[in-house]
Amino acid sequence: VPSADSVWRERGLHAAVLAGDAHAWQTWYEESFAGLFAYVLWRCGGLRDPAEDVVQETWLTAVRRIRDFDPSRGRFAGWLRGIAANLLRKQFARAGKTFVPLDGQEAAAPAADPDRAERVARALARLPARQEAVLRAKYLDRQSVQHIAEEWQTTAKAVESLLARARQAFRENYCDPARAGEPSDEEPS
Amino acid sequence: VNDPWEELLLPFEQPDSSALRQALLAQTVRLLPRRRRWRVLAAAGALAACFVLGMLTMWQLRPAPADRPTVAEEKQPALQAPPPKAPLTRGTALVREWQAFDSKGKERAALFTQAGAQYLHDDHNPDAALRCYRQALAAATPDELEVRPEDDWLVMALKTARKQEIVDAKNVH
Repeated sequence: VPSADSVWRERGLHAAVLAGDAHAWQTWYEESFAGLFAYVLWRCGGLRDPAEDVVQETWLTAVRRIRDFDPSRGRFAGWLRGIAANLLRKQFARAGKTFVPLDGQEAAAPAADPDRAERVARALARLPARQEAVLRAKYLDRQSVQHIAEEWQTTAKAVESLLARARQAFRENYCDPARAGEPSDEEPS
Repeated sequence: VNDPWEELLLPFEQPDSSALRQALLAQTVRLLPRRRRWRVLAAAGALAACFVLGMLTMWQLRPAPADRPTVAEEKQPALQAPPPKAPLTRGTALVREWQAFDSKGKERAALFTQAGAQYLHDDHNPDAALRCYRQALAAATPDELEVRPEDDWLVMALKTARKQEIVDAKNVH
């Protein structure tokens, strides 16, 4: 739940952007770009090209739909992540769509094997929203279980349990590519 | 990382994305005013559509011609031009008197009578009327001295007085 201060700040930025203020948009952009890119790269298993495509499409969608953003429901960065997650889900929904660049371009991380990266991406895409969120908080944002519990207003034990289930589901999806190829019906938040 | 599976979930080192970052910022900044213009145009279009729909609704709901209350139209009398003034066929009493003065016989008597009537009735000048009537009676035949219904009070009085003068004159002789 965003704090009152952040809500007011984002409301002000939102109103300024709606009025066409490029400076306000740049402020949001600079604050959110790195986090969004890291998230999309993580969701793409480290593959740079598809991650850049998704990031670009996410920002263009955000400009087109900026009017729909409601600061009282969450932060701008979270709204962007939601757009990116939807785009990723749609990519996997397309039959035969592969994440691996056909021209053999180098992936983001030297260790990122294209085949393994695609399996990771599909396994993450198949996870329910809450499981994807807890894995993101734990591994991408490097948050402690206690911190996640406080932020989600729950107990550390509940978070541990959710993490265990999420890891198990990820493992199953990863090991069963056919199953992982089916996109989850739930939208990752 | 204890679990080997967790290694797959660890974040990757971010590549240099400054080129993408700058290009995308420029692209989105260019789009912002365009999106705003579209929103303004869409709002204006929606307002115009509402106005047109309202007008159409009013047009549809207008009463049928048969249901309309009939208003009796009162025909205003057409403005008529004032009647042309009658031509001045008659001259003034003075002109008539001069005409009578220059005439003879019956016409003289008639013209003096007309001049006297004009003096009396139009000009309200009984003195001038008396002068003309006396000249008319002087030129009149005995038959014309008889009182007639169309004679006015002054003519009647003069005719009566003239007849009395004639009677008196006979009695003297």
